[in-house]
Parts: sequence; C-alpha cells; structure tokens
Amino acid sequence: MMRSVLTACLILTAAPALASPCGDRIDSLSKRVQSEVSQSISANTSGQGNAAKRGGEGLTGTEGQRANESPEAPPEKSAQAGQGADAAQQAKVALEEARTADSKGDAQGCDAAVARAEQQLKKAP
Amino acid sequence: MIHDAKLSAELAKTKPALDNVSRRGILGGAGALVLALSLRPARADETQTEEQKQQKFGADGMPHGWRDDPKVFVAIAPDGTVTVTNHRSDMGQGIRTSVAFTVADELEADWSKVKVVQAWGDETRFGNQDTDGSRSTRHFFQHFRHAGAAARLMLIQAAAKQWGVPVSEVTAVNHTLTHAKSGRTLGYGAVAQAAAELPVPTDVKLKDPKDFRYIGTGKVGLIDNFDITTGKAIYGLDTKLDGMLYAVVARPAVYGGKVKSFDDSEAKKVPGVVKIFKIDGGEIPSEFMPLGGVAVVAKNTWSAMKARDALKITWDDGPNANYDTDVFRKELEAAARKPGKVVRTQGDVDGALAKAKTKVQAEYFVPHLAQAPMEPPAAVARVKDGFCEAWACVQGPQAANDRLMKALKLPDDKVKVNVTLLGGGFGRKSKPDYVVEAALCSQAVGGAPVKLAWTREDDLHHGFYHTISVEHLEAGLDEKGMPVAWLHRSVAPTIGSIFAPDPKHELPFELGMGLVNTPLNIPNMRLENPEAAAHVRVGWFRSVSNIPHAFAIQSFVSELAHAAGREPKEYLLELIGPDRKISPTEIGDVWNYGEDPKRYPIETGRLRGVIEAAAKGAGWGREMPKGSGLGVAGHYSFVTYTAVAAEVEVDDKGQVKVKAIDIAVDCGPQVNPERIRSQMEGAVVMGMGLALTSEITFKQGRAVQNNFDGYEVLRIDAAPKVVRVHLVPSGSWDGPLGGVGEPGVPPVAPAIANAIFAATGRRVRQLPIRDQLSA
Repeated sequence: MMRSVLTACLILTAAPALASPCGDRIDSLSKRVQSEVSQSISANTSGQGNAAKRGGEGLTGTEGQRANESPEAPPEKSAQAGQGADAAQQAKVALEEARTADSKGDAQGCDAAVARAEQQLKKAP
Repeated sequence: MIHDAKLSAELAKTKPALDNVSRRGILGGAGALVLALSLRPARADETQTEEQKQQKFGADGMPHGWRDDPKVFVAIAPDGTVTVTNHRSDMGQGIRTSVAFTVADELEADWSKVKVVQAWGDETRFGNQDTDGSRSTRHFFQHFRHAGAAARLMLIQAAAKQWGVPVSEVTAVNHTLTHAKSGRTLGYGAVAQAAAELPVPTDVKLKDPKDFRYIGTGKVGLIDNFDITTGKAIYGLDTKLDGMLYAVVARPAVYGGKVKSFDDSEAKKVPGVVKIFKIDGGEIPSEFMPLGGVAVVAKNTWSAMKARDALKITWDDGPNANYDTDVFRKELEAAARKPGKVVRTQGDVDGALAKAKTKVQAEYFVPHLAQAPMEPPAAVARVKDGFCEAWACVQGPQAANDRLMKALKLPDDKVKVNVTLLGGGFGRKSKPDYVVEAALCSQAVGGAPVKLAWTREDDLHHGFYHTISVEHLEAGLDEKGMPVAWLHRSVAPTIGSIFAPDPKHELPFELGMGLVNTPLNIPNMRLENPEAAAHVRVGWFRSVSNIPHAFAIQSFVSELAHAAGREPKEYLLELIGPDRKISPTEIGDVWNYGEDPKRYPIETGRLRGVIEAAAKGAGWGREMPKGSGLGVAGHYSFVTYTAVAAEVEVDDKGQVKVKAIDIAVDCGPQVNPERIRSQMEGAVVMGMGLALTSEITFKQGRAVQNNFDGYEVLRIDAAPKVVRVHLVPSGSWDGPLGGVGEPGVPPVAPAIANAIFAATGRRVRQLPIRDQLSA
C-alpha cells in the first residue's frame, strides 16, 4: 500500500526516480540504455544493406563473408555494430522487465532483470 | 576554364572517360566551358563538430556520406546551359528532376536551360549512391541546395570582379547577373569560365523558401519525360555497344543449388552460340553475388535463350530442396504461437491479459513477393585489358563496383559502373548479381562487350524475395473496450540470411519497420520475434517489413474496434492516443531509419492527422450501399506518416472491387509535390497488387510462378477509378524531411481488408485476398 501511494506521488510529480534500491539502479541505468540505443541508431546508419550485413553477422556471431567487405561497409561499422544494436535493444527489454518487477514489489526479479540489462550493455561495442 | 579535352584527361586519371553513359553525354557538347569537376574532397568532415563526428545520422552516417561541391555537380556551358550531375539512381521516382531543379532553384537558373546527366558509380566523388530506403531527397536536398547556392555565389563573384564592383551590388536572377547601379547585365555562360577558377565559397546563403521558383511548387514536370515517352531514354536493356554479344544464364532453381554436371552438345548446335561455360556459385549465404549456373553467350538473345533450353544440366539442389511454402507457413504459425525473443516490452502483459474483460486473438499471413520491376535485371559489361566497364540499371552502383572488383580480382581504379535509367527497382536492383554475371560473360569471351538479360521467368525464379511472415496478436480489453494488454509476435526469415549463415531472428532494421516502433498508447505491451530460418534469398521489397507489420496491426485494431462495438476510425485514433512525441530511444528502437532520434521522434499527432485526412477525403461516415464498405489504416514508415481510406465493393460471388482510394501523406517539407503524388499513386497500385493478387510460392525449393499470368501484379481493370492523394502541409521548411518512395505501400492492404469487413462482416487475415471471399 505504502509503495502504491509513493508510486502515485512520484507519478504526479513526474519524478523519474523510483523509490526502491532496484528502482534507483533502473534509474541510473536508464540514461545509459537510451544512450546505447541512440549510439546503435548511429552505428547502424548507412543503409539497409549494411545494416543487414552487420546485423546478420552480429546475430550469428560470425564474420559472414568477410571477403565481401568493401568501402560500402566501413571498418568501424562492422558486425560489432549489428551485435551492439541487438544488445542495446535487449538491454532496454531487460530494463523494462526490471521496471515491471519493481512495480510489483518483486525485488529479486527486478535485480535479476537489471543484471541482465547490465550484461547486455557489456556486449555493446 | 576547363575544356573537354582537359576534363577528359583529368577524369582519366581516376576512371576512363565516359562513353555511352547517357544519350546526351556528360558535358552537353564539345567545346563547352564548364564550372565543373575538380576532384576536391568533400567538406563534410571538415565542418562537423567532435560531437557530430561521434554519432552520425542520416546522410552523414552513410558510406562516403554526402558531397555538396558545385565543382562536382554543376557545369555551365558558354551558351548558359546548366548541366547538373545526379548521383542517385532514377527508377521512375523522378529524382533526376528533383535534384536538377533543387540545384537550379538555388542557382537561380532558367529551368529551360537546365539539363541533367547521370553520375557513374563513384561514391568517393559523389557521396553515397545507394538508392534505397526512401532517402534520396531526405538525405541530399539540403546538400544540393548548397551546391546550387555556392555556384550562384561564384557566378556573382566572377561578375563583380569583371565589372569591378562590390559583390553585394550584383544579383543573380533567372540566369542573369545584374549590376543595378550601372544597368549592366551578363548571362551565366559569359562568366562561367571565370567562376570556375574561383574557390568554392564556404559561407553560402541559401534562398528564402518564399523565393523558391521550382522547389515545392509541384509545377515542374519530369526532365526526362519527352525521352521516356518517346522511347529515347536509355534503360539497362537499351545499352548497345559495337561488337556486343548477348547472354543468358541457367541458374539453380533452388537457393544453394549447384551444377553437378552439364552436357552442352545440343546447345552448341544452336546457330549463333559463341560460348557456354559454368559460373561458380551456390554458396549460402549468397550475399549479392551470382547464384552460379551455366552461361550461354551468343550473337543474339534469342540464340542464347534457345541454347539455354537445350542444355542438359544435372543439379545438386542443396539444402533447400524440400522448401515448400505451405509446409513452412505451418512452421511459422507454430513458432508464432510460442514465446519468442522479446524485442520490446512495457508493463505486465500477462497480468493484464489475465484480468482483461475480453480477449481477442488473431493471426495474419503475408507470402513471399517478387519485386517484378517492369524491366527485369539487365547489364552490359566489357572486361578488356585489365579493365571492367559496366552499364546497368542498378540502385547501388558502388555495390556493383565492389562486387565486380571481388569477382574479377581487379582494383577499384580498374572498374567502372555506369548507371542507366531503371525500369522500376523496388529493391531488386540494389543487388547487382546480374552485373557480375555480365562481366563474367565478357571475360569468358575475351573482352567483347556482353549484354546479360534476365527474362521475366528468370526474375521470378531467382529473385531476392520479400520474406514470408506470420503475425500473431493477442489483446485484452477493459470494460470500455480499450486494450490494456497487447502481445504481438512477428515471425519471418530475415534479410540478414543473405549475409550470414542461418540467423534465426529478424534484424533491428526489420523490427524497426512498424513493430518495435508501434506507436499505440497501450499500458502493457510485449513484442516478440520467434525464430525462423530462411530457405530462399530474402531481400528488400518496397517498404520491406512494414508490409506485414502494418497489415497485422491495422487489421487487428479494426478487429478490436469490432469486438468493442466501436466505430473503427475513432477507435484507431483513440488507440494512438493524444498528440505526443515518442523518442525511439525510449522504446528501444535501435534503427529509426538511421535518423537522429532527437530530430525524428514519432509524432502521433501527425499520424492522427493523415488518418483524419484520408478519412475525410473518402467521405468517412457516409451511408454505404449493401456490399460496400470503407476501411482505414495508418502507418509510420521511413519517417513519414501515411494513411489510406479504401472504398470497396464485394459482389455476391465474393469478388472484390476497390472503387476508390484516398491516401494521405505527411512527409514534412514537400520538395516535389508532383512526384509525391505520383509516388503515392504508384504505391497504391503496388499495395493493391500485393493485397489482392500477388504471391510467390515454393514447391521442392522452386518458385512456382513463372510470369505475370501466375504472379499477378495489379491489372488495369482492377485499378481503382479514383485515387485521391492528400498532401498534409508541413508548414515549415525547417522540419525534418521524410521518405516518399515506400511509405505509401504499407497501409493499403489493411485499409482494403478493413473495408471488406465493413462491407461483408468477413475478416481477411491472409494475403493475397484473391478468391478467399468466394468460398
């Protein structure tokens, strides 16, 4: 009940911070995840062809047909970029799962989800 | 001053001089004085801040970025003729016109004195040339404005110097330079030579948009219209060189198939046959390289085709020999009914579903499609003396250039790709396998130029197909009938499978096409992507993954409205919710069409606006006769908002007639309204084709459809008599530009499906509709 009242107050004041320890972790991680998402958009810019190439390689953890590497896919935008995009997206998913768990008072579930988000962020290039 | 000869010599240092790239020739005649063509590097990287360098979006992030150097893009002859070099492929969208008039407007050029020539593939020189993703105007409009404005200033500077007056006292208006105080005037051609010797100014002032004479007016016709309508324009199939031979290829019918052996004894007897040889291939993933097979080179196409028919080839069909789309659909459905990889979530979907007053569930199916451009893939190549030159209808000349380098083991400066007009592209011509085939044929015959043609059958049998997909949706409704829970599983083989071995999930850019960025205002939402393997070459098809996502989501919303007993358009608008800006970073969309998430949030008010505009255009709410209905759908794609209201009539036999389509588009500033209308009209026709008739199926790994009798695109008698395009004004030229080429397609099919439901009470959940309602 106390949590509900507190949550309602937070919503009313539009304060982004959550009231639990896990909520604090979510809050501190949230900006980083959004930054990684933005970074992934940037890294995946360069057209559908390159995004598909990098994404495919990133998902499968392969180098794909590296022999086909060309100026079309600049070195800095390699399979890592594709892997990074997936990791950023999965970090965001994990963070939202943590948020849901926290809203239910499921501290253990929240911590686990935050850990997953952090793990995903480590994969980002 | 640079004369033709000097220009040619300069170009020859990097690439051999152009020939036959354009009917008009690149400089518009011998002896032209030109402003053009230094090899100066672009200023793009010089002007960017450190922060901008770290994160690049839009054209900045594309390979080789953009260029705005007037010495690359603008040439002015002594008679004042302005020649603009367009580096984007024109496949009917009219970009040659838009680029030319954008430069001409800022240049203050007389449109009647403007010509356009096509750039060859050279991204180092011209900037990115991948003509895909509805990006040409979006990415390059401002840069072409700068090129035109810089050229105008150089002309002004040259005139001022000649007259000995301050630059500020000289004006350039409609091809004339004027010094008002002295009453002197000069034509552009008179100072082009002097202007060409000036450095390109860095401080360029663009015109006030109120002074645009071509941009945004919608009054500029296609610059190529006369040539196109009189058969003079040069397409991929039209290129002709002296001594040219002709070729076709027998390719493996199954993706990953290989030639085990072949007997060409009968084929060699066909008069005119010059060479028969095996092309290696059959690798998975294929990337953009040829499938392999057996090539026949002959003195004419007919001989080549007859000889191909006479070949006796034993194939190893490879791992996809049993691919059957009927069976595969069931696999996709099974995958869609189980949890998959979560790609976006918010709230507690399972909890909300459990508590929901009403639950609704549906599945939607979209089959493989072929781009089927009216002009099938075609290329001419000449590989001689260690140099390869190609002429081809390609969307990505640099991509072709790179694959030729790989296939022929040649360095970049020994390969050149000239770009013809494209008789349609729709994504197919982004993959230059056919250009490589042409080059291999030329190489095999010792360097004679070879025209490689794909027949319609070749195109339908060996394509890069639109994926096949099942969309599974569940929703829980509250007492008011509004969804409190939304679950969407999208399962489809990924385009990534042509680049990497066996990826099982769709890629962020596919998921970002209408799935992850679903802009509905629902508290509990989970979007999943179960696994699916690819068994064919999957490629881009105009609007790509937006097609299945829009069809499913916009149909499902209509189903929910019905379940709630609500009017569907109002329900859709309520579900989109109040006007707001959704940041892609807040919903985990890691694609956003490559655009800056700050500049390009999803604006729900604009989505609502196009839905209202389309519905209003259709006379939404009017009483419909029995058997007729109106349906509406809206969608956000390629950072543009579109909506369609369809009016259909279904007769007693279940035959569907689309009587009218209203399509509304909000693409931000409208650079070429005439072309936007044209693109929307074309998208309606293409969207109707995939909604009503188009489908590629596979049996034993082979595409079943052979030609337009089996793969039906929309026919003229099925086209609606009325297509009304509603352009939603932007209000400001400072707003972000949206794409135009593709966004018209996605909302067409769901609008028709929703209209059919309104007319009959029957729900269409699979495409194409064909005879589903006659059963």
